[in-house]
Amino acid sequence: MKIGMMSFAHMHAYSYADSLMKLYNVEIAGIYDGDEKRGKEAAESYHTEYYRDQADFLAADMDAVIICSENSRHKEMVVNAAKAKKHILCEKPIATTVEDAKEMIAVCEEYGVILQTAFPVRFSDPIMRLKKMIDEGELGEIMAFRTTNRGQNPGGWFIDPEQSGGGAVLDHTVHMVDIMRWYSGREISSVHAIVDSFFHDIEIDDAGILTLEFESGVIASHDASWSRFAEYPVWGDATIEVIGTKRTVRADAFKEHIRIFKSGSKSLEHVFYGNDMDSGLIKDFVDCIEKKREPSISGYDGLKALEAALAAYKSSETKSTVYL
Amino acid sequence: MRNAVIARLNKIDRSSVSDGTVLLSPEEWRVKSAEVKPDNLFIPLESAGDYIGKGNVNVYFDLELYPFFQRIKEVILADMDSKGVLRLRRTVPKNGSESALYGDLFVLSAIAGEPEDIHVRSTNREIFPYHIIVTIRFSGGKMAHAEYTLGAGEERIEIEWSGIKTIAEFDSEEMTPIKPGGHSLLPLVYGVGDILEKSRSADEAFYEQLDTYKSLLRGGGDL
Repeated sequence: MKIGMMSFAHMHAYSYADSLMKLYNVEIAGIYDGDEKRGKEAAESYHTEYYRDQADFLAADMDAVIICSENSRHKEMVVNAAKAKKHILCEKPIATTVEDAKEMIAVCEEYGVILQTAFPVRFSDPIMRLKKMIDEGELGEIMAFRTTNRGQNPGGWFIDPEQSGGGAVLDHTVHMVDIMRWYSGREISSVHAIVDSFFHDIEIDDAGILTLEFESGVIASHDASWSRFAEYPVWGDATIEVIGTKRTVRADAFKEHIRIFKSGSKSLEHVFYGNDMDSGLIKDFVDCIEKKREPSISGYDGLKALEAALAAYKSSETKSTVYL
Repeated sequence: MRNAVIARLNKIDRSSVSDGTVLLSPEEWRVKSAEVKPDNLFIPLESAGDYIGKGNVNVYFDLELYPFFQRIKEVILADMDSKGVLRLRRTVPKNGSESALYGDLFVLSAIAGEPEDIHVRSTNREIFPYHIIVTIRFSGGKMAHAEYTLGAGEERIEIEWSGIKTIAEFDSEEMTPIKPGGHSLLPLVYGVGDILEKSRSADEAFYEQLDTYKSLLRGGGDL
């Protein structure tokens, strides 16, 4: 199978490309990147061809593409790749507006290509284990969720509203909203949020607390931020607590670690040894194309997560609950 | 001067009871109140409604009595102007009280500023466990989530402060000095001295403030 990479603007591109390189039946067919230096370096690193021109890249012989551009360019690349009949794995958030996401889904349907949203947290072992416990009834009926996704400020285009479409709340809400939808099988009916910029001198949000309500009456809190600084022992977290009628259980995608203490500015470091969720995502995408099956995480899943994140901004601006 | 402290006895560090102070459980107080006749009475928040208009009564909030909270408070107050995210989570046994919501609002306001906006969501309270999420925007720019799960097991308190270049974390289950649990309620115990020092006089201003916070919480949604 031949898979091309469209842009290395998002740091996940490197992890996804590494994951592709580990698969015996997959070849990285080429790399398109508007940033020539970055694209050429990546092409050299992954022993493949660099394309300066997007049309030339999409005309090349390949089955699928992985899009890791700036958020604002997801739509353009997804639409072009779909028209070129390439299956697509698109980095999250799927788009910067709900309208764009809907159009992307519609174009992929029209051209008969798979559109999968890159939510790697679904492939974290603890997150999958908790899903199994819920499905087997160990927790009883779900009453509430508590989730967090806090990390470091990625800087660069992430803090440019034009290119990212939103700051920490957009970047760090969609993962856990997706997990809550996946666990509960329900849609979010309302969002209340406070969004602000606390931790960095930047023009974009870096903190938000959200209260979500699902159509079933399940309620949830979510803490999204870029509040972690370089000296903190770990990059950040992705946690969920499920409060059920039988049991309350927590899962943390980054909990599996050893503690290393050193003399220096970062005296404590958590070194992760858990499973590689990005690799899980890539294997699933490849499997999906091979078996011509529905993606496990669809464009629609990406759309619904985006919708909740954007509702948080609206709620904070209007100081009111937003109903979806 | 004779003080009477009414408290759940398993929450008190008994070694902290000094001369001149009588420590009584709510049940003991009901029986012995006439004979004890204290000069000053110290009661938990859940009993405050029974003492409106009575003199020499003082009310305490458990959260600000815990030694761990004193340390967290110092961290937050170290930079009063800083913004940040405060997260408080309580797991309360089935026979516990919701009064902690009001008490916590008193305590958090003292370190984060007056609550400007409150939003409350709750699951069905007739089904245990039930969960309450309180979102608070404070006047100084700080924001908070205070969450309460009632009927989901043993008492547990978690608190987190994410400030600028400062993060403080506490979890009573993790930070317990004796494991396995069940041998001690540590770290969720407090001293009588702290009750005497940190209680608020249950005067008219106190009850007005309590009513304000109750109204804010009720106005915020599901209470």
